[in-house]
Amino acid sequence: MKHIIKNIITGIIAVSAIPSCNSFLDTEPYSSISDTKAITNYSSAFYALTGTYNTMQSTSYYGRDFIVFGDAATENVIISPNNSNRFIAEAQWSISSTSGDMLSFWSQAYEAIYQANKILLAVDNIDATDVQKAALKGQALTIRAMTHFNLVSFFAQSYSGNSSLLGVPYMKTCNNYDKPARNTIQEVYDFIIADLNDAITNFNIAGGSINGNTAPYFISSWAAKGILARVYMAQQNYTAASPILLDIIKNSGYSLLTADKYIDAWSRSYDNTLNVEFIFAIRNVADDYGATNCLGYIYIQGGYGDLRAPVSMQALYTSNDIRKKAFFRAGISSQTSWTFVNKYPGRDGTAALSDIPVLRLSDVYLMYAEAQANKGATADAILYLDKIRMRADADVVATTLTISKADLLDLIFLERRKELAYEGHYLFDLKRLQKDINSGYRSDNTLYTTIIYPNNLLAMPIPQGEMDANSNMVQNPGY
Amino acid sequence: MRKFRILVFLFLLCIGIVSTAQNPQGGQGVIITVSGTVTDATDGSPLPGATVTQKNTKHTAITNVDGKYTIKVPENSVIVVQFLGMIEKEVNVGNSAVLNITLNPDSEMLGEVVVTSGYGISQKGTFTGAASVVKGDKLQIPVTSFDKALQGNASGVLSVSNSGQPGAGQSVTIRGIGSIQAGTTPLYVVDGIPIATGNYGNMTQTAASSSADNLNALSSLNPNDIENITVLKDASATSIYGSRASNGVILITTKRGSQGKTQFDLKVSTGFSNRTTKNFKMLQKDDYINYMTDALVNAGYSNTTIDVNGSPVNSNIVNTFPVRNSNKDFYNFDWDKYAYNNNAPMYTVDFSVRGGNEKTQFFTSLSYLNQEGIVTKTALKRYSGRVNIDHKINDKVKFGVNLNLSYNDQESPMTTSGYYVNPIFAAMMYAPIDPGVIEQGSFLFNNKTKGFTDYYPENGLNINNMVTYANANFIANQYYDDFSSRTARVITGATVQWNILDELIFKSVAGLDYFYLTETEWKDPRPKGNSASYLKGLSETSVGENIIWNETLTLNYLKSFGEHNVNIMLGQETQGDDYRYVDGIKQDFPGTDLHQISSGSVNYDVNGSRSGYNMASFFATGNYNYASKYFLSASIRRDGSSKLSSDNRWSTFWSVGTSWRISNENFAKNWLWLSSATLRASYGTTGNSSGIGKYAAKGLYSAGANYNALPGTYPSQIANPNLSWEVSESANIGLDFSLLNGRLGGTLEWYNRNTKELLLDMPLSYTSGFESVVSNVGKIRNRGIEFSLNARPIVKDNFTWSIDFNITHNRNKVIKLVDDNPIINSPWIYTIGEDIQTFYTRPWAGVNPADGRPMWYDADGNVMYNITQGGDNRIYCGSAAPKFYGGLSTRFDFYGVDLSIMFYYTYGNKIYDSSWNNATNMGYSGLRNQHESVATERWKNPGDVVQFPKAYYGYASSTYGGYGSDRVIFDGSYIRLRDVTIGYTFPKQWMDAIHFSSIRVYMQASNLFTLTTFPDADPEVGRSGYYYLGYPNAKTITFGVDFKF
Repeated sequence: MKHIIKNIITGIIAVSAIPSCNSFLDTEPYSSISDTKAITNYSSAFYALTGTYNTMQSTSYYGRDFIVFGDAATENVIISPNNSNRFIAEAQWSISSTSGDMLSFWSQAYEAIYQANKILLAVDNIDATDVQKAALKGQALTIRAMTHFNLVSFFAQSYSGNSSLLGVPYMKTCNNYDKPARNTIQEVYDFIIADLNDAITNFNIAGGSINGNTAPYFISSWAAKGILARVYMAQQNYTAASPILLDIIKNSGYSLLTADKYIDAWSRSYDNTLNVEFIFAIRNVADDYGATNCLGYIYIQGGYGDLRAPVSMQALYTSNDIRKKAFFRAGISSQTSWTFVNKYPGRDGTAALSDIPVLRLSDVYLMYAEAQANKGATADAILYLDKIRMRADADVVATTLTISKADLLDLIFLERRKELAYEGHYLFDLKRLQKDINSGYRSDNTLYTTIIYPNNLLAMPIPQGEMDANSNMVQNPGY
Repeated sequence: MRKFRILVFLFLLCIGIVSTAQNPQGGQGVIITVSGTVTDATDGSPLPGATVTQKNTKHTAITNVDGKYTIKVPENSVIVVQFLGMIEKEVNVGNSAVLNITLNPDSEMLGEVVVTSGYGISQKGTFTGAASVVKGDKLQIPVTSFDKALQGNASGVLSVSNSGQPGAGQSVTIRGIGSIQAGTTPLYVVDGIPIATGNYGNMTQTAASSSADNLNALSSLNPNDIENITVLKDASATSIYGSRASNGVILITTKRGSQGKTQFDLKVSTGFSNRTTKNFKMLQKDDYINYMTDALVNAGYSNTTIDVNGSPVNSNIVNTFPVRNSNKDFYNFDWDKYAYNNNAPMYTVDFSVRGGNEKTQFFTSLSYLNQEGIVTKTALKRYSGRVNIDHKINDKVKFGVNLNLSYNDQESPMTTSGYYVNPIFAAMMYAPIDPGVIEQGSFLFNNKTKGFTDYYPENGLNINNMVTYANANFIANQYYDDFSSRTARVITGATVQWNILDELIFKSVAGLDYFYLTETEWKDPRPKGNSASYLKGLSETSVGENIIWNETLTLNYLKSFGEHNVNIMLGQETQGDDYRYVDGIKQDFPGTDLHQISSGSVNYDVNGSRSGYNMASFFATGNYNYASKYFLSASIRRDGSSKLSSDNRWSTFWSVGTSWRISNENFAKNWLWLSSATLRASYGTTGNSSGIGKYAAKGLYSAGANYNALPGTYPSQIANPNLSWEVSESANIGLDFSLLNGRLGGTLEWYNRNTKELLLDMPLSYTSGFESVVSNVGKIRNRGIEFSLNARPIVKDNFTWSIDFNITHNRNKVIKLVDDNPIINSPWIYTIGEDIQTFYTRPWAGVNPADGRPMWYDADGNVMYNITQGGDNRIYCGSAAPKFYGGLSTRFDFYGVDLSIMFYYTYGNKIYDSSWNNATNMGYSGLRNQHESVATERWKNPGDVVQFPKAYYGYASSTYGGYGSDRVIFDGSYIRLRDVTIGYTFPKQWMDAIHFSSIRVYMQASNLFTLTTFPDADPEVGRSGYYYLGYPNAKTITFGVDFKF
């Protein structure tokens, strides 16, 4: 008996000694890997790149908020009387530095930039071919450039106003403990253009191939060029924008959606037969589907239906305009007096599950028309403008060559508003062209306010969270 | 001053007189060796640390952990056996070599209790640390978890309910909050086994206040199984728990068997619960319409009216709320009625058996608890069982086994399916003219020709499907949705003790805390306003399991050399923790009858993961005392944790403590008024690495950032190669005293605890891609005084009266932060020199009487009308931490009748009431209802001097009155009648006739009334002091019978 007990106790002591060695305390996580082992070869770098697109797809960025900002702050929307409180501050122009929307967009955007930078810093040393590396670099550089472009467009005054004002910090490093100061708008644009040119060079090395990742859901050489043109347009540098846009129109292989497919394209999956004019779009698949956090959910009657189509907006379209059918839908049940925005109704029977266009060929046509009109190439401008107008309604009268430059630019501007409605462009178009901005409508169809250019409020407030954490950050005047 | 000197002189004189009154006398004759065991007469358990003294000498032996002693004394001399809390006994040794002694408890001795200190037991008088003991009888209040019973019963322990949900969590804070980021929960140890605490649910609960944990792991322990709870507070007491002890240690000792007659105990009770107050009321129909009309007109909406049942009503309201009752009028719907239960029932049955013989003793219990909550569709059912067995194999070896099995079934508020279906939210915010349930003859205003058909006919109720606000109606969710969780838990431990020699004892403890948690939710497609309605039903099941295992080996050496008593322990401990879960959601269900996830046709989401950490420790303690007068203890412990960086994961913690048992001094022997007195002092360090991620030091990429149906990774955490322990250094000085034969006793403690190397999320510029990184920065000090007093003014055979009182004052102060920059964690701020729970918001300047606009003060003290102007004008607005808190309880026993009353109080704490903010934001949140005071207290006409600004539909966020300001910070002080119990125990002679030991009937009331100035539902809002739509606490009345036989 005594021996048995002694043996048991000796056993206990022996067993307990095993975990005392240090390896017992070297536990590795089950669902993460060390960041030093995360990007080592092409496939792991590609996973990291996919994760970067995923950040762009988040609700706070392209997934909803950033797209909604571009319309909610303008007369493109009317606020529902029983809204869920979302985007009201934008519609009213009463945003403050503590608005959650500001911080979430700011932080998601910089997270995407950080992820892109992680790839860019690692890519030269990974196990991959030069072509693969170039494809990764081209996409990561474009993401970095376009995200900074979105930030500077939102949180700073327009380039066309005074480019020596403060922009946003341009991040090229991954030093987490830095407290960067804001670059000037000019510096930010210079970095953006340099990155996009670098991206295009890399896409050329990659041979236009993006390694089997299908456009339009991954960034291609054409997407990078289109974004670069958009940046030049914001600088009102039409000479630089024009040839790039023409290159896309002539050589990219994309073609305009035809009128007969147009309505379907907005309500069905942009599959290979329907996506013909989408150069870059954010893909939403059922697995990503955040239901109530989708872009479309803000607009449709079956969702929040917070932001609706004002009467004045619908009146812009002729009665036969196919876009009227594609973008709007009359309310039903108790909401028959309202018209809902139906640009993102969802597909395959799933409400609000839609892809989100970032760059499409119609935008390129209209930018080209605008650039040419500004350069005085009226005929060229009209050619591309009318392609968009007449696709929507074949019965509209062709634009006459005798039109004045100012009238032509107004016509192009109007067409941009109509064609790209609810794609998040209108606010930024108004801003870059230094126009006054009518706010959203109250539910009784009156405007909250009008923002007269120039105006401090046009540079949105730097989020309070950033102000609190970064002593080098300077707040925009008026906030 | 002169008077004082005279007093001191007189005092010294007294001491002189008393100490010269001794009469030393020694024994004579042949010296013999006497040995034996000192045991407790009530249950036969050994009494370690008892003193065995040859009468009238200083010759003393101390019993070892088994109650054994050996002493050499002359034949026929008398030995005096003393053990605190027991009646002293004198025994003539005659010439016997073995002398076993039993002591009877001294029921009159108060303030002298046995402390279960780390890895062993000691008397309070010999203990150098600070500890509070809560005996089992204090746990006899109807609580779902024992941590709730700690409230007001132990000094230095702040126990606050997070939520009134049955089975919900409790924040227990010992001696102030010592950490910002790392855990602040004490270590809970049940019979030597550290157990899991907190909320292990995967599915988000948004109902209660922000810090709520609706699933409390401690609710799986039956409070009736607990013998006592010891709260270890200072470093001398806790240091032996090293790296886990920084927030104090709560030791739970469960009941054990005893020799003798088998005792059966059956307890049955039933009761009902209600809200503590129903004073918080919202606007009713007419007031709401008036308010909303103002709000709309002020915001520029048209003022045209349409007649509704003869009264003109603003056309916007008429159109927005289309439902009319059969009188063609608006409803005046009482949402509150559907959100809360009246008289929610509870039942408990508890049955235990204890007994045994000299070799084997057992305690077993079975219990059942069923408590419904005061919010509809909330409940907890608990089934639990316990077996504790102790067995002596032979004189040298014995073992014990504890096994606790429990099964909790909890029904939670319907909050996971969306904010708007939270009943607490709905009751407050939904407009009364927007009915949740409609009656016959109702119709829609804007569709007059048809009867109103858009409702769910259910159980005689017609649930309106047309609720305007977000198109959601929580009553529909109540009917059709389900959310519940089930926790099966095993806490088991085994102890082997081998007395290698009389002085050398080896002990091994191994234990396991395992639980298996299943949560299920069904979101029916019928209720509108949440994603399930168009996803054709959503069903989610989440399963998680957690294992905490630990093993401890100790070697104890106890020896007395004359008057020198030494106790040395060496030990080793390892612990592991492993958690894993899987969570699956499906959508698209065939109809509404099949709710299991297998019935869904489309995957919505599937998740699962696993994580764990390990700890290893080595420790040593030494205790020395001289003649049971001077005590010295020291401990050292080296801990390693896998959570920390490999270079910094090992650290050493230590403590020293000393105590002086004044009453054992010869000069004190004749101070008849003094029963006992001990002065204690200690200093030491403990660590903390809880509350931070299990892999917090590592830079990580995680998967799951998928795009276009391709797998993606993302940087999820930044590396911190310097991450190390958070360290607390605490000093404690204490005095325990017992006067007048123990009729008056108490403890006074002073402590100072500095927590340095704070584990803290250091905010990063968001441009870094991250919000923050966990770092060792900063320092916090908690300094306080605790005082507890117990008195027994009346002690007669059939009439006793006792009073217990305690009060704690703690002052928290932030000493150091990253670069000493304040950290704003709105609405709080951590800043140098202030309390860690300081609120930080804008100063409210009231309402402009001229135009009704809300006003704030800017940084220069000028009035402003837009919070975005005038820079950062936030100020410190008081702390959520109470300045004082404690409890007062009293008990009368009078000829079989017992009456006990307990008050809990907290003073000087602030509450930031976000609910109040919402209820009085004057139209910022659109159609939401407002508090009834808004009817009279809002600005209407120039010259009005009122509390609330003018109503304005859709206030801009920068100008609305509800914008975070000190307007919504209230004094959270309160006194609450926590418990009143009145019972009657039938006379003994009646019991003998029916062969029962005793029968007691009782009635008990919890939270019967509360004195407070806080305007919202309940001032007990959780430790954070931030209240937003939380589940209020209940007032419960219980009736019960307790049979012993």
